Amino acid sequence: MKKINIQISNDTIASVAIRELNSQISESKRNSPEFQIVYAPVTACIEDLTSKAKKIARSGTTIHVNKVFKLPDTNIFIALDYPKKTGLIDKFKRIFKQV
Amino acid sequence: MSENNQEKNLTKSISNVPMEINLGPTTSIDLSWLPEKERQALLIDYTKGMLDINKTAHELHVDATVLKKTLEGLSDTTRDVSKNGNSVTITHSQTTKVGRTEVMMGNSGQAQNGKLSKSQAGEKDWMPFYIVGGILTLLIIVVLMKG
Repeated sequence: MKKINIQISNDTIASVAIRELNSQISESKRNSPEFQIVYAPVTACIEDLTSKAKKIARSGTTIHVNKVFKLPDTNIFIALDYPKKTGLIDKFKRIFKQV
Repeated sequence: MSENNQEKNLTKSISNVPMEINLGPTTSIDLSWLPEKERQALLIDYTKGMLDINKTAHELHVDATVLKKTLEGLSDTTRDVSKNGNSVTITHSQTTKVGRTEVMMGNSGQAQNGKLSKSQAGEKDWMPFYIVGGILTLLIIVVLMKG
């Protein structure tokens, strides 16, 4: 089972995120009619989440959404985080910048 | 009369089973070389597969639409509560056949962290059982040491 991760925040452009997702799926699979049928709701969800992130960012509250789509042979994980989650490496980078 | 019979026999021999499967706008598989029964079985399998895919697509579409509506409702509530100067954390989790959804929204520290607890994520929280188990084990050890 293939796993694909897509990260979304308030500065994400929907078309870029969808392009990133497309790049992780082989062209032959992407073009198959079976996959296209189940793929449409996933791209619609990415578009919706990117617009939600921008809206939430304007209102000043936070949002975290983890969405898993179980497609045939592929699991797509979409994570929407506003503000962006900072990992340990990012925290270290910030400390070093301050020093 | 004999001409009519000949026509009838001719009609009977024409098969209703398609000779090819269209796999896409430009791709198709020729099945004309297969016997009618095998072609029929193959087409039944193909149709079943297509029905399954369409069912999954419908479920995915419903799932995505529900998420869209849920987020709209939750974000409106969060915005309203936040505007009134109150602290709010909203969580939502859902598991369906086609996937899983976890949402956390708000203006509190917990919401900013974005980490759902096990009960918020809809998972069973075993911690109370571990604590009770630990206490029981300690009691048994104490009783055995005294005895």
